[in-house]
Amino acid sequence: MSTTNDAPLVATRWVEIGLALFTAALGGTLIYGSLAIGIGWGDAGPEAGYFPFYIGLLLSCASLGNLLLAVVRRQAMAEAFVGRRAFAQVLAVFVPIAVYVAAMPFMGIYLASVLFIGGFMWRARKAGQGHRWLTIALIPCCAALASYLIFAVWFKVPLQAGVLGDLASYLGGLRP
Amino acid sequence: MRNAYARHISSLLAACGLLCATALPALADTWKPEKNVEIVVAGGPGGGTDQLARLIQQAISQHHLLDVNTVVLNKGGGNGAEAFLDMKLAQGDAHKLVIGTNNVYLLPLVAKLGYQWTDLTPVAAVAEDDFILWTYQDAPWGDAAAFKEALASNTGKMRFGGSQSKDVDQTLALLIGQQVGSKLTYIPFKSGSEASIQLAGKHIAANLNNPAESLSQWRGGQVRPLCVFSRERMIYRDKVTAEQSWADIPTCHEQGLAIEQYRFPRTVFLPGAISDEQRAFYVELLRKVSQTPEFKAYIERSALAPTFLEGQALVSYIEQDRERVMPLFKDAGWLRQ
Amino acid sequence: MSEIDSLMQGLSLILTAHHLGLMVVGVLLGILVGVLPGLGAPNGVALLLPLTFTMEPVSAIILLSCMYWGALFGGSITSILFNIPGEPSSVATTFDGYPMARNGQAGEALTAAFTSALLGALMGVLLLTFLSTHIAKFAMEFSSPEFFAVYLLAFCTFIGLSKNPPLKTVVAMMIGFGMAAVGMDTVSGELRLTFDQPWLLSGLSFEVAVIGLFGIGEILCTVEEGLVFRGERARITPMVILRTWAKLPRYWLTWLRSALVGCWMGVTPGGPTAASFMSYSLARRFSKNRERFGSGEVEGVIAPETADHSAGTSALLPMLTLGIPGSATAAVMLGGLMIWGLHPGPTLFVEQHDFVWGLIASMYLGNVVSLIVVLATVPLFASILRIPFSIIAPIIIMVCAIGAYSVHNSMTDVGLMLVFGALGYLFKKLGYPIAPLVLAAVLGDKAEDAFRQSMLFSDGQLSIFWSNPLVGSLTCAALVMLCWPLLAKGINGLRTLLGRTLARRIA
Repeated sequence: MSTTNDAPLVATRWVEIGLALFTAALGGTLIYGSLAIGIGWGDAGPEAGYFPFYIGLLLSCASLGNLLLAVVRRQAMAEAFVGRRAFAQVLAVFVPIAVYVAAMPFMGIYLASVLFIGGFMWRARKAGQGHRWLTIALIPCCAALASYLIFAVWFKVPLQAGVLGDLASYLGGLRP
Repeated sequence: MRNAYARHISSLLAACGLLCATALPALADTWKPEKNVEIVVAGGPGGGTDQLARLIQQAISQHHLLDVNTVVLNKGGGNGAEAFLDMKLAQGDAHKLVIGTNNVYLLPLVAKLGYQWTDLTPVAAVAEDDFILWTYQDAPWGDAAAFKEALASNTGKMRFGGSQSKDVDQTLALLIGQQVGSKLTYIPFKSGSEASIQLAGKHIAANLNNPAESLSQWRGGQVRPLCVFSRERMIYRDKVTAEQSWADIPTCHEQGLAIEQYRFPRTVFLPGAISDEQRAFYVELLRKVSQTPEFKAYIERSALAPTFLEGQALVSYIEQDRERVMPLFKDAGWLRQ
Repeated sequence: MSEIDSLMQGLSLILTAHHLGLMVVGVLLGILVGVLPGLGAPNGVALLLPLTFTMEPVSAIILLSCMYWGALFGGSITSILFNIPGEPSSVATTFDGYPMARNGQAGEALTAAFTSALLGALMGVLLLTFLSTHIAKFAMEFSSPEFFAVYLLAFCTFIGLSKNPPLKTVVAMMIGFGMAAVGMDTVSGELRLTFDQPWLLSGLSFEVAVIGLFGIGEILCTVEEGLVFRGERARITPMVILRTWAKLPRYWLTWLRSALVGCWMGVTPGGPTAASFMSYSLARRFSKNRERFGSGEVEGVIAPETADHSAGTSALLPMLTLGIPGSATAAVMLGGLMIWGLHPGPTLFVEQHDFVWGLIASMYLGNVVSLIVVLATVPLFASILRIPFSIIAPIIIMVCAIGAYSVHNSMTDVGLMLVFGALGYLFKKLGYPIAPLVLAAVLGDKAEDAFRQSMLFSDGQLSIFWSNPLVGSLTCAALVMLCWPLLAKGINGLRTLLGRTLARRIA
């Protein structure tokens, strides 16, 4: 789906091979895990590891098949998987999500979300979309507040508040 | 060894508690939860443990027994192991309770889980569930004695059903197997009510359910109780069906199945490294909960045995229960230690 | 007819301002729960349960069941607009609903989805009203072999449909099965594939996988083509709704078939997710427009939605008559019934006449109320598509992350969502199908349990799957469905061959 005037980054073949190796490794893990719990067919039907073992075996075989196809089919696989510019755009979204997810356990869900949404909008402003500063400040806070109200207050699913929670309990402790 | 050590520690704790309670009565109510209390359910939403947890939450809020809010969280993974591991990691956090059954101290015996029940602080057992041997309505055996005879001569054809594997139901099936001197075919289902429907559909010959799990099928004339695994008959005399009440069910040992008593407790635990004062606070809280009309109504509706155990009594209850099943588990090849 | 009399009594019981108000509140809460991924109908109902302890049982069940309807409706909104299923049972709705929205037909897709959902639900309620006792008897016939045969049927209908390369379909499906195997194994009581990791104890939940594969994966695929959402042309006016309604009657056969599949799967407990997949694949197999499926065919929205709702509704039937829940939400409601002091089961219809018929009457009314409420909120949801990408995308990602977190209150699940997101992006780009993965993850362990329970029943004999007419015909139906593409080819070949020889004879 890369546009015509976008320089190719990597050939489809390598991505295919990479993913096939990954799924084959998953299959290997399944096989390894099920060997430990018995893969036989006892007098009372299959043991706990019977199905996971064959699932893993089938997964590995199918992955190796995909790997082989990726190596053999020269023509189709030489096509660009993704253009440089398109991939940069994907990374521009994926990396912030990864940072957001990684920061969550430390910052807590609310603070991380506010920074994430705010950062996204701030970048869009730099890129020339007309968000006013007030909007950039308000929308992330509203989103976090709404999730607090819906999840923590209404449906009683406590979201990890991280530093904000610590702060709140500290302030709560200060009260006489 | 570990048991002896645990016993030692907990008797020490109990002694301390006693000392505190007598010498410094003011101290007993100095500690109070400072933030919201999490009630972790060692079971999925909708199950028996979940119902009890939500009832406790309800009783606490209705009677203003706590100044802070309570939050119920389900962690039912691995038959509740998820909840207990979570408690182990929360060491020292006195704002977290876990509600479970005897799975808290039996699970580590049969699965490699990385926690022992002694890693947690036992608070109380708030009730006990009886076990009843059920069969389908028009089954050829009239009572438990006849059932035992049929079972002894025809073990292979009579299948038992129950909830989960290597759990209370299957343990009881092992005990019954010992009685007739052979191994029973036990089929594990996801829940007791599922097993009960299988029984009503005559797919299995008998199952081992708590009273509440099979109540609706009994009233609907699809299954009937053979005997209850208890020293004495149950205490509920109100008619459940047209003719019978819970108290009319004979005990198993009076029917010749020599299993004296088999019950499971509804337990409440705190994480490890909790001060005695904090534990005492929750013991009192649960005692108050167990005296609310809502709780009493729930106990009666589910035909639970009203029991309240805490402190040393609870610890020795747990140890006795463990010592009783250990040889069974060992024979069945379940023991993971 | 006594049923009609009872129904009228029930209606008169619930036609009060108080109860209608509860219905609207329930439906609105349900839509909210349904729209948010991760927070599903079972959670919502479980959380509302404590509020209902002080209510009359009839009022309480109206509130809870309306929340259930609302969640079923709400789940399809995000499937169609963003390709993010709010509920696992609306995964199948994304296959054609989202392409329709991208073609600028979001209004049509939503209207068709909601309307067929209502029709599906009505079919389920009709069943409950008139045939409940017979169906309850039939459901008791089911034991583990029959359950396995039902799951096998669901798989076989779906498999062999995929346009994707077969090896890639196998890989996707096996990953799904592998996920389902992680955690506690019911039959042996052993922990499997947990590698001593506490976070694997509760298994890999398919909710997290769905959020990652669809939600995050979709956003990554979208941004490759620029930082915009497509489908902004969606405009919803009463005209669009009327125009769609005028088109719908021609799909009566799809509707009927899907409703039957849904009721069947709801009663036998295969569940709404399996029902929607199965009905989608049947529609695709037998439709005249089979070529257009996957690229925005309205029939591909009608089929899964009808089946989803008729399964969701008829799942209450075994709950009320037998005390076995046909779906996760029904399981939670069952807990509620017990707490209110009612004992679901064979005697409920006699002893709690008012309660049962009040509930049934509220199901008719509640679904109509739901349709009105969701149609009223459609313009609101469609306007979300007009919000600039730089605002809505991070909010969607936040909702996904919180949704993944709330499945088990665990941060690991959020990380897992990210992994599934990356996997979803690669899968889409390389032509791996996602649907078999979801289906396998949902049904995998249930099917395995049923199989192994059957083996315990039969002492390891496979012949148990042909041991009585019921299970035998189910197994055969499954095998026929599996070989259907081959059979269809064979029949076609035979027909052309016959035609040719006939033509030659005549000539």
